[in-house]
Amino acid sequence: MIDNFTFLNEYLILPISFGAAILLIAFIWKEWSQSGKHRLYFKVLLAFLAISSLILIALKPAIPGDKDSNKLVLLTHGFEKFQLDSLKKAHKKIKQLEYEPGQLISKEIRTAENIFILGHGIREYDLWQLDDTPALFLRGNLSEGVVKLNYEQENFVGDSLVLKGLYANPKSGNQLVMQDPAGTGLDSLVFNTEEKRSFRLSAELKVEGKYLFSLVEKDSFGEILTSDPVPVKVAKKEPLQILVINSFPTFETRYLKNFLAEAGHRITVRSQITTGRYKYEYFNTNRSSLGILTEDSLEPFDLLIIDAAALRSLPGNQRSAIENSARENGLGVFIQADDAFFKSPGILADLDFERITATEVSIEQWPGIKFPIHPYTLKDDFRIQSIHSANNLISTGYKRNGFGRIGTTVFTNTYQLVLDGHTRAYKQIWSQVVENISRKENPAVAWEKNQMIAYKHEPYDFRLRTVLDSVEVKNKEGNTIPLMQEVDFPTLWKGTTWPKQSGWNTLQADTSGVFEYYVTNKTHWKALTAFNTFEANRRYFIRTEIVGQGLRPLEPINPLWFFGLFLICMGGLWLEPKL
Amino acid sequence: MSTAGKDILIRFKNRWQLMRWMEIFLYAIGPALLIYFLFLNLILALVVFMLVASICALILRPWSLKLEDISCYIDGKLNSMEYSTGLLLVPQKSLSGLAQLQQQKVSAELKEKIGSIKPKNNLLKAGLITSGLILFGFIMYQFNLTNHFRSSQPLVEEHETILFEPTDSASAESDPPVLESQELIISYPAYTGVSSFSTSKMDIRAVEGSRATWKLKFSTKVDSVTMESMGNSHPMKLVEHSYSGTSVLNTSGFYNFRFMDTLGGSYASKLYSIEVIADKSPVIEIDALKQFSSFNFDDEKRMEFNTLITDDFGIADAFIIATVSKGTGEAVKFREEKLSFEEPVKRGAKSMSLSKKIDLDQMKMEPGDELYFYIEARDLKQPVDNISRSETYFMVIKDTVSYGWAVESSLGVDLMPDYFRSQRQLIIDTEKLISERNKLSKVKFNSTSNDLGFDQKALRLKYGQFMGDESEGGITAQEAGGNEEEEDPLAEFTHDHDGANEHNLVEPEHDHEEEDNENTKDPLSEFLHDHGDPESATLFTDNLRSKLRQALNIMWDAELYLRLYEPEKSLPYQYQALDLIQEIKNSARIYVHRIGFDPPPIKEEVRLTGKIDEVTNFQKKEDLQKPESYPFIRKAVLRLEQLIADGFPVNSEDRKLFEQAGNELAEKAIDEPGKYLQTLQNLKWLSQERQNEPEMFVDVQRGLLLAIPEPEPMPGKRKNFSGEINELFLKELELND
Repeated sequence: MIDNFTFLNEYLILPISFGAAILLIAFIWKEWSQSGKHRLYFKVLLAFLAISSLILIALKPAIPGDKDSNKLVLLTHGFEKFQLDSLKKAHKKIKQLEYEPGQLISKEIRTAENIFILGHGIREYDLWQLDDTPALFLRGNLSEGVVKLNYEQENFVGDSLVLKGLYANPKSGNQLVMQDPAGTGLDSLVFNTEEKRSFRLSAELKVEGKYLFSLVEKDSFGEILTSDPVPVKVAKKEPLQILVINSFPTFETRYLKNFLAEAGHRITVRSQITTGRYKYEYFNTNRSSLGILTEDSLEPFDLLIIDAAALRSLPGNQRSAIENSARENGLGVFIQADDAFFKSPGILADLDFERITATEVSIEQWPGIKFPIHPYTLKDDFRIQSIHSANNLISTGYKRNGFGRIGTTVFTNTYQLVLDGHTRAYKQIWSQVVENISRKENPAVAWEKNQMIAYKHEPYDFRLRTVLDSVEVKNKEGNTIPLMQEVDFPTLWKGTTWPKQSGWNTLQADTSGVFEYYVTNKTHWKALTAFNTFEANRRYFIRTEIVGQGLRPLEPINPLWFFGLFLICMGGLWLEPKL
Repeated sequence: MSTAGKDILIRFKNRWQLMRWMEIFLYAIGPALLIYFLFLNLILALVVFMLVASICALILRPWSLKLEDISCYIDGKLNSMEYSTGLLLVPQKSLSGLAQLQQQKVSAELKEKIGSIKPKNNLLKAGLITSGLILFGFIMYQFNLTNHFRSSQPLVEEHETILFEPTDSASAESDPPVLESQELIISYPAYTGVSSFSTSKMDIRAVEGSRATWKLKFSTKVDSVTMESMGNSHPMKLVEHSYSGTSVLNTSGFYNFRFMDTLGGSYASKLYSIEVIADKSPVIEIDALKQFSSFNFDDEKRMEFNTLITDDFGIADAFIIATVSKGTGEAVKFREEKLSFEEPVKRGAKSMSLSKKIDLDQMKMEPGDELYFYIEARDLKQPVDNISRSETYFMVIKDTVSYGWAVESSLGVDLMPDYFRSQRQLIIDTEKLISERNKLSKVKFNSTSNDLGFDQKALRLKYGQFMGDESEGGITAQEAGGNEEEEDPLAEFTHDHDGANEHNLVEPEHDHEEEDNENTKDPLSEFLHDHGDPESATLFTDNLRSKLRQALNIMWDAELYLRLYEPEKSLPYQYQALDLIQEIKNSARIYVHRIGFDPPPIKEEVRLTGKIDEVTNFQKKEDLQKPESYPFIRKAVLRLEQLIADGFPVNSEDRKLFEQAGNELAEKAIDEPGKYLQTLQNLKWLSQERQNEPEMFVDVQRGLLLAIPEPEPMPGKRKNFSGEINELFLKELELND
């Protein structure tokens, strides 16, 4: 028993004992001369007791507590009452603690022999507190709502905003509506009786800027039940610099260059008229000399569109200039193929073709439109990236070549789509081709977000990739956020910030690149957060079971006891001369 | 003494009359108050009061009460009067002594007892009814059950009133001038015949070219009033204390009013729409007229039809434009005539029923000529009238000469003289003959039948020529033969052929014999065998040949029955022959192979080696980039998003932006005013200096987002971070490929 006896203020033992000894000596010295011996002993005893109780009040002696009281139940959001009740029945004196996100709980749980966690669990950023603790996660049920969500937060004008996710326990008849910033419904679905419903809502983005779309759940009468923000950033598409080289003018090129030029791209066209004579056209760009293709002259271009005949007739050094530009600088090369190219495509690109019988394909995206093709298909090699394909036959594709992309298509005479009135399909296929193959801008700093949702006063994890040796990130208030560099990937940095304001927040990397993220308050996306917490807890508690140390918590002895004793002693000392 | 008694009676009578008047008043006031509570309309209540009062007065007639009636009434009520009240009315002097005594007694008695009787009245009943009605009305009023009766009229008026709102927040505090009256006068163009009308509703819907005049009157003096429409502002003139402006409506659009008060504060009204309706073209309906009608030469070539022409504001003129075409091919000639209807056209009528008889003979038309005509109608629209025309109708006089000889035309060689009758004509004539059998004498009938038989023979011989049959001396000889046959029409045929029934049996043999002979003589052989493709040509010919042979055989039978004066039996054969000839006609078309062009081969070695000294490089520079559509609307949407999120006040730059966005939207809104009017209105408010509610931002943003068209697909530069790892990965991929 005495083994478990401890002083909570152990560090005070020396000075207090010293003080007490002096006090006692002073008392004995004062009483020494006085009266008979019998009384003196009595008085000294009383004084000793009184001083001892003072010492004990200061030192706070403690003894281990009761056995059942070192079990703890941690109640987190969404716990079930019946689980708590049955736990209480099993363990009468079990302690109960309600968890608030961000709360420091390690102190309470350090001594517990068993910890039961009820509900959706401890928030991911608080889980470290449970390291090496004998905790057990007794999960509760998930509530209804959107539990998974994925969409692209940074988009361009003309892109589709596609909201994909999973809705758990939907109520039959309720609707899920995606609304634009002004509250106009853009896309919606109606729930049936099902346990989980995956959804995909999409809408075209029309205007650049930062907007707050929303995902709204309505009941069958159209009453809004919940409304959660969907922050979206829409940027304007930046024009490309395109070089077109043709061995003779074609309708295909003519329509293509008109489409691209009207869309604002800077296009230089060189088409051969006859031997050594060329026609140069400059759309939305300045004249520049284009005699011999070199890496330097190709440098400003994002995309080279060249027909196979022109490619064949290029001298070897110019051809290797193109290849090097692609490999080193990321130039995109689109080859307008002809029959000879399909038969032996060896130049520049190692693209392979297979002959097929069909001369038309239809693509899922544009039902009802037949695209005329050369009777070939791109061989499905593992490096080939498909842009358009139908029935596992690749019509348009490219291969990576260093940083660049070299691609082609088997579509032929696509300008006829325009003549047939399928202008939109025409524009879409060429947009996809040009966008996929052309050079990608390599930003100095690329931001990645781990969380779809950021909450006010809660940690927000972000990652950034940069080739810079060191990088400094500041938040909206101008404070530097410490970054951690990944050991294995020196280009990857991690950081955590605690946004203080809701709305759009920014993170500024020192040289370039502002990262914008939207901070919402805790009333939004509840089901999603609950589900994420739940999943994080589930993963976290898949670990070897930790046996509790069986330490009983020390309970300090109530100082009133010592104070009582002190009063009695003092009373005795006061009363004694009067007797 | 008696005068005292009479006075009592007169007083009683007055009392009675007063009570009746009271009763009338009570009856009248009840309904009047009820009406007032229901409609809160004083005039209506007064009318009801007067009405009920006069009806009650007529019934109760308080003025018709007479003293004699009073005395009778009192006699009835008071026994002590001893039925002598009447004596009080008679002058004392004319009464006998006893009567005078009685009069005095009654007079004294009356004076004493008069207090105990009351004039007959229904005051209580009237009071109850009245108070019931008033109570009912009051309850209705108190519990707002009367809104139903009242809501209609006054609310609409309020809605129509032009509401001016201050455009800057400063002037909102001062007392703004109030619009006292508003009037819009719309005068339709004179030609419509619609008299001008005035309305207090400011949204205009009027026919093109109408003149709109606005008159606004303000309670206090204002500095100036302008009407703003589609970015222009037109000041209104002060005429007789009211501001008026006028405009001719030519296009749809929007307008609003704005005025400056004397303190320099500016106020604007909401936007009103101008919808201009186009004057419709006249509508022409023609009854019971086939688009194409043809006449035989001997028919009565007349055509009669009715037409109904309607127009929304009146028809100016209507007539028929007829074109006669004569001749065919290159020799065709046209003659155009303007015909008027039988009835005169009433200028200005909205609906007219007109008729016309066209006699082709009067149009100097001959067989083969065609008449095309259509009806043209004009309305009264100024300055340029609307013209509409009907579909074109065709009338043709059949040209018997060239009708139906399809075989020749398809063969390309005109081998047949004009005086042949076609198989079709023969059928028609035969049918006619059968139908007229009863009317004709037997001789005439037989003779006609025989003539037809001859025609049939001539036709057969004609076709026989194609087959190379012996023509027995040609047609002329046959004509002579035909004459002979009239005497003994059967003889020749019974000799030549053993009988119609057997004929088909011997046919194959007959065929062979004939074919053998004809191969050298067949006039078609030149055409049919000349092709480079002998196989198909042979097949083709055989097919045609056998069909023609079959047709000739059938014609034989047809002719036989005609000669036997049995045209009924001949008809089926004739039909069969017609069918076969039709088939031959279709199959006898001659096709010519298309010949391609084979260019001479190109010598590859000399290709592109010509002199190109004069050919130079060509350079061209163009800026094709299309400007972004609706730039200000886009900017406004973004700015509104910021305003909604951050709640900043609208600054002057924003106002300018909203104004520009409004101008862009206005162009779009003309086409679909219903969709964008509210947004346009709100944008107008946003571009003014005044306090705006956040809801308005959202509304405007919604409207603007709707107005922006779907973006066109377009490629753009994408971002893609590529670090060391990516490079390594790509290299490994390439190596291991």
